[in-house]
Formats: sequence, C-alpha cells, structure tokens
Amino acid sequence: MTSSGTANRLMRSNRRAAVAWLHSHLFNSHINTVLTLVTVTGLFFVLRSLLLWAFTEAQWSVVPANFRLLMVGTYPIGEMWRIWLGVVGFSLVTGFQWGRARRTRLWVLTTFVVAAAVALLIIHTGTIAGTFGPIAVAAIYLGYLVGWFARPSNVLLVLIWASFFLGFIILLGADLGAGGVSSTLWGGLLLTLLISIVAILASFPLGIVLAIMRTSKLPIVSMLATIYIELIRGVPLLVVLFIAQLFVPLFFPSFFVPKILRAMIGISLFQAAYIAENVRGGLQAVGKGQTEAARGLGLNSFQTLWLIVLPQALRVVIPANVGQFIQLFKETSLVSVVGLTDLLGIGNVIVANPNWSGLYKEIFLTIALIYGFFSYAMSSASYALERRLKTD
Amino acid sequence: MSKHSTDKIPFYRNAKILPALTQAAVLLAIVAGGLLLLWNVKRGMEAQDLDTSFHFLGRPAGFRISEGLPFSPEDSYLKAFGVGLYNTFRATVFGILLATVLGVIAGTARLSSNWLVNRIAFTYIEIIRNTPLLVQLVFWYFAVVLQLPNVRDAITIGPIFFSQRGLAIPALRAPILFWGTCLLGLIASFLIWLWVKRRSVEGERTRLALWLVAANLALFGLIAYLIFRTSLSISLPELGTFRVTGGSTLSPEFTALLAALIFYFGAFIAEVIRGGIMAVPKGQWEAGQALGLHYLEVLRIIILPQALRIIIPPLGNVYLNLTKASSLAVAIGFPDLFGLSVTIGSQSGYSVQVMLMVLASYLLLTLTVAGLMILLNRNVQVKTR
Repeated sequence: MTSSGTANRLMRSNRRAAVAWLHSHLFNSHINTVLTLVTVTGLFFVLRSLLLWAFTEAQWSVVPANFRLLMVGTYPIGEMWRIWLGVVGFSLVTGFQWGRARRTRLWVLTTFVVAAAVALLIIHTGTIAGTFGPIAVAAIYLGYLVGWFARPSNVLLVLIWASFFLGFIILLGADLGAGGVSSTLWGGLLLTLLISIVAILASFPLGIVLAIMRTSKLPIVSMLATIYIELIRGVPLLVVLFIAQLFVPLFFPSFFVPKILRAMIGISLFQAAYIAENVRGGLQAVGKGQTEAARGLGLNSFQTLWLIVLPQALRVVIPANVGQFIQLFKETSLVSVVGLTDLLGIGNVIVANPNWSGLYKEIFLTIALIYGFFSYAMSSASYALERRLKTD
Repeated sequence: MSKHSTDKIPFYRNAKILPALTQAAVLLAIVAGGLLLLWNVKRGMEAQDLDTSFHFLGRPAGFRISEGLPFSPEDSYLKAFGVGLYNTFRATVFGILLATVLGVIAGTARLSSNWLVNRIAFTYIEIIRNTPLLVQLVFWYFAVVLQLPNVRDAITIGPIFFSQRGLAIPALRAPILFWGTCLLGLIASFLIWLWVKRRSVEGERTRLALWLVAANLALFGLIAYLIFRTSLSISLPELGTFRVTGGSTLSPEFTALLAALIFYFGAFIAEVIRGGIMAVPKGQWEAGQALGLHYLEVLRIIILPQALRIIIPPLGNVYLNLTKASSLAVAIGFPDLFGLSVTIGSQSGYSVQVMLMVLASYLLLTLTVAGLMILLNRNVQVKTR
C-alpha cells in the first residue's frame, strides 16, 4: 500500500518533470512550438523513408561479401597471415600499454575481449581469422600481465611502438623466400591507416622544424620557411599529391619510388605546412620571460628551445594539431584519385563490379562510417590527452 | 695568455659571423638541392623529346569539354585551360554563397533554445565534419544525383526539376549589356556604401547607407529594365521525353559538386558562426536588455558587430578551403581547372609546365579570396582614432 503510493508519487513527479522539460525545451514560445511541430513532422518523414530503405530495400550483403577487400584491399589471401601477425603484435603492445597504466578495469577488458573472440570464432571457424583471432586476444592478456609487472619507462614504450610499426611495414612486403607482396597490392583500410600514420609521424617533426625556422631571427631562414608554408597553403592537396606522383620520379630518376611512398611524401609535405602554422601559434604563446629566464640560467639556445619553449608550446597546440591530424586522416581518401586503392579507392572498385552494381549507398555509407569511427576515436583520444597534460 | 684568448674569438663561436654563416649554408644547400632536382627534371624531359617552353599552349586541344564556355576540339590548349579556370571559378563562387546561407541557418539552429532543432543541427554538423569530403562528393554524385528519376518522371518543385540530367532552373535571358548595367549598379552601390560608412565613426549611419544603396539598386534596375525591355525574357524549363528544354540546366556533375561543397562547408561555417556569437560575453546580452532593447535590437546593434569581428577571419579560412576543395571535382569528372589540366598534361605530354600553371592559378585564386576577406575584415574591426 505505502510502497505503491510512493511509486505513484514518484511516477507523478517524473511525469511532471517530463512535462516541465518538454515545456522548457520544445514549447517555451509560440515560435518554438511551431518550429517543433514542423521539425517533428519533417523528421518523421525523413526517418521513416530512411529506416524503410535501410531495412527493406538496402542490400547490406554487399558489405560482408566484400569485407576483406574493404579491410586489406587486394592483399593476397595466402599472405594474410602477415597482417594477422601484425594484429597479434598490435594486441600485445596495446595490452602492454594498458597493463603499464594499471588503470583499465580488467572486467571491462575481459568482457569486451571475450565477446570479440566468441564472435570471431562463431563467424570464422576453421578460417585464418578463427586461428589468429583467439591468439590476438590471448596476446592482449599476455601484454597486460607483462606491462603490469615490468612497468617500462616512457622512452621504452615509444621504442616498442616504433619497432612494432617498423617491423610490421617490413613484414607486409618482405620477401621471405617465396616472393614478397608488392606494395601495389596493399589497399583498403590497411592502406588508409598506413598512409595516415606515416604522414602524421613525418609531418609533425617537419612542421615543428618549419615553425622554428619561421620564427627564427635569421631573415633568410625565416623567409624560406614562410615562402614554403604560404605556397603550400595556397594550393589544394590534390595538386600536391598529383605533383608528387609526377615529379618524384623526375626528381630522382635513378631510384624507383613506389606510388604509395610518393603519396606519403606528398601528404606529409602538405600537412607539415599546416602543422607549422599551429606550432608557430604555440611558440608565440610562450611568454618571452621563459626564454629570458632559461638564458639567465645559462642554457644555450638549443637547450632553451628543447627543454623550455617547445614543451610548453606543443602542449598549447595539442587540440589544433589533433584537429589537423583528423583532417589528414580524412584527406588520405584523396589518394584514390591518383590511383591507389585505399578505403575509398577500393569502394570505387567494388561498385564497379557488375555483381554489385548500383549498391553505391550501401558501400559509401559503410566507408563513411569507418572514417567517422576513426575520426571520432581520434578526437576522444585528444580530449583525454588534453586532460592528462593539463598542469593547472 | 688569457687576455690573448679572449681577444681572439674563433669564428665558429662569434655571434656576429655565426648567423650569417648559418644562413649562407642553408641557402646554399637549398639552392644546390633545387638546381640538382631541376636539372634532373630537364634531363628527363629532354629524354622524352619535350622542350621547356610554353609554345604547346597554342596547339589545338583535340578533345571536347562537356560544360562551361563554348569549346570545340580545334580550340587551343590555352583556351581549354581558361574553360577549366572558369568552371572552378563558377563552382567556388556559387559554393561560397550557398554554403554561407546554409551555414548561417545551421549555426542559428545550433544556437536555438529549441532542443530538437538544436540536436538536428548538431547531428548534421558532426556527421559532416567526421567524414571525408571526397566520400561525400562521390556519394552525392553516384548515390544521389545519378539515382534520381529520369527526365520523364523528374522531381518537380515549382519550376525547378531534379533528374538524372541534373538540376533545371528558370533563367533570365537578357543581352550582355543588361548584365553589364546591373554589375555597374552593384559597383555603384558598393561605392556609395563605402562612402557613407567612411564618413561615420561607429556605424551610426547604417540605416541611411542601406536606404541609399536600395534606392541606387532600384534606379539601376529600372534603367536597365526600360532600356532592354524588349529583349528580356524569362525562360522556364520544360520536361521533354529525354531532356529538359529551356531554362538553365546544371549538369549532374556540377549539381553533385555544389551539393557536396555546400553541405560540407556549411557545417564548418555553422561552427564558426556559433563560436563567434558564443564568444560575445553574456553580460552584453544582459546589458542590452537592461537598457530596454528588444531581443532583435540587442542582436543587431550589440551582439552582431562584436561577433563579426571574431567570425570573419576563420570564415575566410573556410572560404579558402572551399576554393581549394573544388579541385576534388576531378573525381566525378567535372571539367574544372585541375581536371582539365591533367587532361591537357597527359595529352600534350607537357605535364610539368601545366602543373606550374595550375599552381600559379590556385595561388592567384586563393590570394584573391584572402585579399577580399582582408578588406572585409578591415571594415568590421574596431575603428580607433
């Protein structure tokens, strides 16, 4: 009796709160009421046709049927173990980092990982994914345990990541007796991620050097950097990419530079100019007193820059730079125009296949979703990093 | 001994010589590297029997261009390049205008107190900003415009038709002198605006300037109409069996390109506008209302002038990005500056020269946009005496 009375009262107060919320958020003036009604009607029709299309008309089977193409492009099936080995290595290092931080709640990790393994096993029993999937899951735990007890330094962790990445790229193409895998066969999400990571790693230091050059007191050095930055920022990435494809072989006639590397060079040189402008903002935000104090302590100009100015400047520009890296990640899709089969390029290949003709919406929406997932992950990581580096 | 060593500073520690030396070294390295690369390029071109001049521009192009200015295969490469420049210019101007309109609408919606409207604008902005423009462009072209019904069953909104053949809209047919007169009227209005504004200090003559501009526009419009009355006609598009006749037709490629540019950059402009208005302190609103001003008056007199100062610089950046992004048109076969240049380069073999021309053209375009934005910016910044 009393409990049902309490429940009633609770319900009534909830209802009152809901009505109050509706009133203040949707119907607080005549204009807003009209606006709400019009929007709800429009939204209803749009959502209805969208859902009808997605659940009745759309042929989503095109996505699982071409899943491998979307992920790795035309990478030969017989060599897939190389990529899976990379996945295992990635799991190991990721687990290692999580274990080192000792912060991740193990049960979250467990449920997530076990669910992933079960899903993989059910879908891919007997395939290479069914073999390597559970190994990758085990690698996360192994890495977690090692990281938990070893607690390596920051430098060691960076070294481990760097060597993993380098080893993976070598493994992707290396000739292991039975012939290597030509870089023209790399594609899909694999290629998109590869180009993005290389371009980020290359353009960041280059951008810092350009920013330092531009703020330099030496007029010629500063002028050269300014010309480079403004020239690059005045032309489209597509033009730079095309010129890289066209000119690199002309510039270096005695070397063979693969198409992928040319694209990486183009994107890195382009993005470095934008990174440089962000970093310059950070350099200018560091007070002059910092430099003077450092010189007063007897540091030379390189030490002042490396130990005092740069750490402060880079911290200020993290949000801007991560924004730039997200932009870079999205703009790697332009390599599909110069003939590489990255995620978008492979999408164009799939829709050109007569078996799947006309399924543009399904394929391109899936591709957009994958890009969106990574962009969102990057921006979330940036927020986390910002919070951790906040000193005040 | 010690005196001797302080007198003679070695040259590699001398603060006067060292900077000059560093700069000379950097310059030397860059010039030497550049010359080496150029020499390689020249040798490579000679190996292919190509010269380093621009004479090839006068030769007939030999290909057709689907849209833009009238062009026949006998016309020169230079004219083909000009058509590309015109198409890029067209896409950029319409893109900037319409993206601004959409951006203002979405930015306003994002500031709305109506929860639903606010969330819809937020969803639109986030979806657009987290996916690549090229994916959106390809989606618009293949999945939207080319999937529209054929001409016979075109989607009709008043006199506007959407079909596989693109977008058909009513057009005003008039002699070129009519457009010239209109342009003259616009320029005169702009000068009047500047003249009135220059004579005011804190924008108190805005209303007078607006009236003068309106009167001037009406005057020119009337004159143009009276002179060219007989040769003016409005052409409405009409549906045939296979194609639309009359009116102006935007090709499917141009329609998709415009749609992608407008929706993509509209989202960025919306964020710029929201940021600018949010950056005006709340106290300004409250102070305005305490003075007894109406909501719209506070917005017009107090908030917008301050917000514009914040909005214009990043808005200029968005416009620059839009100008450059129009080059993505090559992915859907729209004959823009970049796309046509690739064709010219591969057909004539003179890719090096053509790419240099492309670089120069884009620099010119972006510099023009940047220059206009600087002018605009100067107009809205705080004027101090």
